[in-house]
Formats: sequence, C-alpha cells, structure tokens
Amino acid sequence: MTELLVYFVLTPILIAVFMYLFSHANLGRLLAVLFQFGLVIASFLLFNYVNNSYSSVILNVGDYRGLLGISLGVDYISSLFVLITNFIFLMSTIYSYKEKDNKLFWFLMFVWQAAIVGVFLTRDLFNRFVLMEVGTMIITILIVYRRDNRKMYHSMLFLMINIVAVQFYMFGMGLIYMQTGVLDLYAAAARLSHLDISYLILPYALFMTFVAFKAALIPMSHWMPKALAASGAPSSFSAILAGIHITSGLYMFIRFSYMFNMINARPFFIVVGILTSIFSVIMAISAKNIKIILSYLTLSQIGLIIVAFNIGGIAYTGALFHTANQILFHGALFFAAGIIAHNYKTLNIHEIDGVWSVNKIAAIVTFVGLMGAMGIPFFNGNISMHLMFGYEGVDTQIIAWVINIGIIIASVRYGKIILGTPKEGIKAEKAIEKNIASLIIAFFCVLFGIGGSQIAYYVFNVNINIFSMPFLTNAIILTIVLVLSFIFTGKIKNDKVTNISRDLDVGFKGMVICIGIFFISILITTYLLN
Amino acid sequence: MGFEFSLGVFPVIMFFIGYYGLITSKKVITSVIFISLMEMSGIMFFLLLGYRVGMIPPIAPVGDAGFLTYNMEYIADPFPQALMITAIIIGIAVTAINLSMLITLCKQSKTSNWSELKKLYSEGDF
Repeated sequence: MTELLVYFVLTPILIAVFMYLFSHANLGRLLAVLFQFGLVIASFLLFNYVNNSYSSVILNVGDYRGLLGISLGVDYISSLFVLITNFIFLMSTIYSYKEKDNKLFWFLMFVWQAAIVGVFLTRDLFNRFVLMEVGTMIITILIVYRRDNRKMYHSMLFLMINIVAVQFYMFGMGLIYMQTGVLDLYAAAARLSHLDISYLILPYALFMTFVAFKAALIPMSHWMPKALAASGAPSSFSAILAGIHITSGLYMFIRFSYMFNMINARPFFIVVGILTSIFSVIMAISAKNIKIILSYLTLSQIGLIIVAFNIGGIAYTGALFHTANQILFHGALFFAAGIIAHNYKTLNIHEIDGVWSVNKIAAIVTFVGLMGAMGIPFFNGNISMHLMFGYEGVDTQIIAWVINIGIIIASVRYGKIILGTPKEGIKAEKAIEKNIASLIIAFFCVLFGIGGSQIAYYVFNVNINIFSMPFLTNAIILTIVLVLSFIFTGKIKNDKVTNISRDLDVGFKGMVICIGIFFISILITTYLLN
Repeated sequence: MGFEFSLGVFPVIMFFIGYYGLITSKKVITSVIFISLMEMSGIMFFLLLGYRVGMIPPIAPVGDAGFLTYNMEYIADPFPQALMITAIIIGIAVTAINLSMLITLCKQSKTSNWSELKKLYSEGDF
C-alpha cells in the first residue's frame, strides 16, 4: 500500500502525456475515462484502508532515512480530499469527453490533477510550494485558453497576484527552516512545539496570509470569481477551480493550523469567515454573470467552513463533511451552468429564463445543487450544515442562520432561471456526456443527503439523529425561509443593487493592498491573542 | 554560529521595496520588475539561511578522508541552495510568461497602464 502512494501523483501525469498524443481518438479519451475510474477506485480503497485502520500511510520517496528526503503521507483527511478530487476529475473527464481537438486542455487538466493530489499527499513544505506554483501556471494558461485581450488581462492579473501571495509563503518557509532545520511539516510541528510562541507569530502570519489568499477569504476574495468569469477553458475548469483548487486552500489551513497548534488565532478566523460569507452573499445577490454568482456562492460556503473549523469539536467534523458536500453541489451547479451557457450563448442572468423548458436535465441538476447549497433536508448540505452549527450556542446559531438566509436568497435568485419562458430560438444542444456527468454528481448530492447520517457515521464516526427536535426544527425553519424567499425574491434588476458588485471591484493594486492588510491584521491579532 | 541577522535585513528591505513598488506602480512592466524583486528577496533570504561567517563550502576536499577531515559543524548548509535553484527556475518561467502576455496585451491595447487596462477589460465582469 505504501509504495502505491506515488502513483496517485504519477498516474495523472502519464494520462496527461497519453492524452496530449491521443486525445483526438475516441479510444484515447475512453481510456482516459477508464484510467480516471481506476484512480477513483484506488482512492476509495486507500480511504477505506486508512479510515478502518485509524492509521496513516507514509512513504519516504527514494527511501532516504530520517528527514533527508521528501515524504508522502495520507491520513483520513487527506485520503478523503484525494478521493473527492479524483472523483471530480473523473466527472470532468466525462463532461469534456467531446473536446477532441483540445489536446492542450487535456494535458493541462491532468497535470493539474497531479499537482492538486500532490498538495494533499506531500508532507514537505517546499514540495508543496512547487506543486502550488505548477497549479498556478496551469490555471494561468487555462484562463487565457481561447486567446483574447480580456482573457489575457485576467490571466496576467491572476498570475501576478498569485506570485505576490506566494512570496509570503516563501518567507514563512524560510523562517520555519531557520528555526527548526527541517521542511517536513510534521517534524517541523514537533520542533516548533518546543519554541517560545513569540518566534512563531511571524511565520504563522506569513503562512496564513498565503492560505487565506488560496482559500479566497476576505479581503482577498476577488481573484477567484474574476478568474472564473474570464476563463476561456471548457466549463469543467470552473468546477475544478471553484471546487477543488479552493479546497486545497482549506486543506492547507487544516495542516498549518496543526503545525502551529500552540497559536490561538481562532477568534480572528471566525470573524474573517463570517465576513467572507456576508461579503460573498452580497456579491452573489448583486452580480449578473452566472459564473460569478456561483463562485461567490462557493465563497459563502468557504466562509462558513472556516468558521466551523475554528469552532472545533463536532463543528470541525461538520466542516470536513461540508467541504466534501460543497465540492459536490458546486460541481453540479458549475456543470449545469456550463450547459446553460452553451444553450443560451450568454452568462448574463437577466437573459436566461425558462431553463426547464429548454433543458430539463440542466434544470434538475441546478435545482439539486441549489438545494444542497441551501442545506435543505434530503440534500447533501443539510446534515453537514447541522453538524457545523446545530450543536453550538445560540449566538453562533444566529450568525449561521443570518448567513444561511443570505445564501438562500442568493440561491433562490439564481434558481429562478429555471422558471419562466425562454426567448425564441433557444434550444438544447445534444450533449449526452455533459448530461451524464452532471446527473452523476446530482445523484451523489441526493445520496449524500438521504444517506447523510450513515455516511457521517461511516466516515467520521459521528451519530446523528435526524428525528431529534433540534434537527427537525432546523429543517422546518429552513423550508419556511425557502418558501418565503421564493415568494419575495425576484430577479433583482435594480441598478443600485447590481452596481454594488461593480463598485466593489478592485484591480491589481487593490488586491496587493488587500494581501498586505490581511497580513498586518493577522500579525497584530495573533500577537494580541497570544 | 547562528543566522546572520544583519544580512537578513537586506532581503526584508528588498521585499518591502517590492511591495511598495507594486502599490505605487502605474505601468504593468514596473509591476513585473517589482514582483521579480520580491521573488529575489525570498530567494536571497533562503540562501542566507545556509550562510554562516567562518564556514566552509560543502565541497569535499581532494583526498581519501573527504569530509571526515573537517568538523561537520563548520560546513555550510547546502540544502537552501539546492532548493533555491528550483525556486529561481520557477521565477524565470513566471517572469517569461508574464512578459510574453504583457507584450501581446500592450501591442493590441496600445497601453500598459493598469487603470486603463482595467477600464478596457475588467468593467462589466460582474
């Protein structure tokens, strides 16, 4: 089992090379789907093994003794992330099956998969830096995929702002090496625990600035929606960027929180998470571009997850579960949005009406995805949302409710594209592969909703009684809020509202300043809290 | 023999000059230069971690005894140098991609000013 770890990174690279050569042939793309399916099965077996044995699998690459080499390792958290990543890439492979002339896209997509899986597996800080850089370069190329000036501008913006953020990581890594003499995350954690806390505040602030940027927390949220809106790559790119790439930021948050476990910055991140969610909800309500709306809806969930991670206890488990769920329901939403954009030839929500009449599968998948995002019973966000906030105090629950009501309003506003009458001449184009991939993800959203309590017990060893009073009360209130939102939320076309998002748009300098502000904030707050 | 704090100040100063430059620069090309400066500051900081006054390079002298003739405490740490070669290569690749996109964009847009580019390509995103 141990030796097999390296193949989780190597196999996608081999598939990438294979697809660069043979993506034009049907057999080539079919083999890629089979390879991906094999990877998902292998990831599931790995997850099952780690989860049942309550242990970690560690591989010292090159068989170097001690801390001389790079080591890969999985525990139940990383194996869960690897499983979901490979599943989404399998769905993306099916979704993009007909892209036979895009050999560069195929190549980049699979190398990106290797880089993301590598980030989840590696225990080495510098190795993680290299893999993140590879991921950044690939996203840059995918944004500018169908070359035009607008994509070029956004691609350059994305690359430059990422390079600025990664310098914080670089300095943090240098300080860790200076203080511990190692770059292995777990060895560094063990050595850092013997040091005085005052030595740890600066590297912590540097690392967390980078992590917050990757997870697109406020005030650094802008890069992700902009990258998605400008991207010229096929729609599966959006699902991977919004679902998996952002999640790698959350994963690093978990790992670096472990590395600096003696530092308490929880109140800071709870505030940042709440602000991220509120800001994202406002942006999602006011934006016109459907990809931007979905990306801000993603960020609103990320904010909630960050809050739950920092509350700890059962909320932490709920946050892990919700991370997996949000990848699924946002994957479904982005896949459906790709189909909708293809049919309507626009991304403007005001020009999209009557999706149910045009494409029933896209409408069903959008419906299921939105139900999951809102946390409605029998859909996948419900139980994880309950785990995150259902057991907390009244104050936390009130805040979670306020944010969730915002998410419901934004989701209902988006969901209204399903209803109505489409303009003349809009027809569903045949795209069986896209429909299949979208339906499979939607199926899992429902499965994780209906069987959520069993899955939570199997994966996280948590018992949830879905017939308990608090659970049923939450479900009833959620349903009432949903019905009220549906009645009172229309398609917001008021310029004062829709201009909010435009007015809050920041350029390159604004983003650089935001990174600096976050760094100074976390540095001062951590100093005061410790 | 600890880390040379007096030398460590220079990369930090370079980093802040780069950051200040990014906030104040109006042209994209100057931003690219300041980003490179920030990258170099990170690399320089890491390289200085392997530097100690009075230490000798980690190269084995000619002879059978090799490193054994030295006290290991006085041999400089080669690890940061090995890592920074990778970082330098990544930095070059990033700068090359940045510049190639910049040239194409500026030729077609007839401007390299951040605010003008934002007006041209970013308005209407939302």
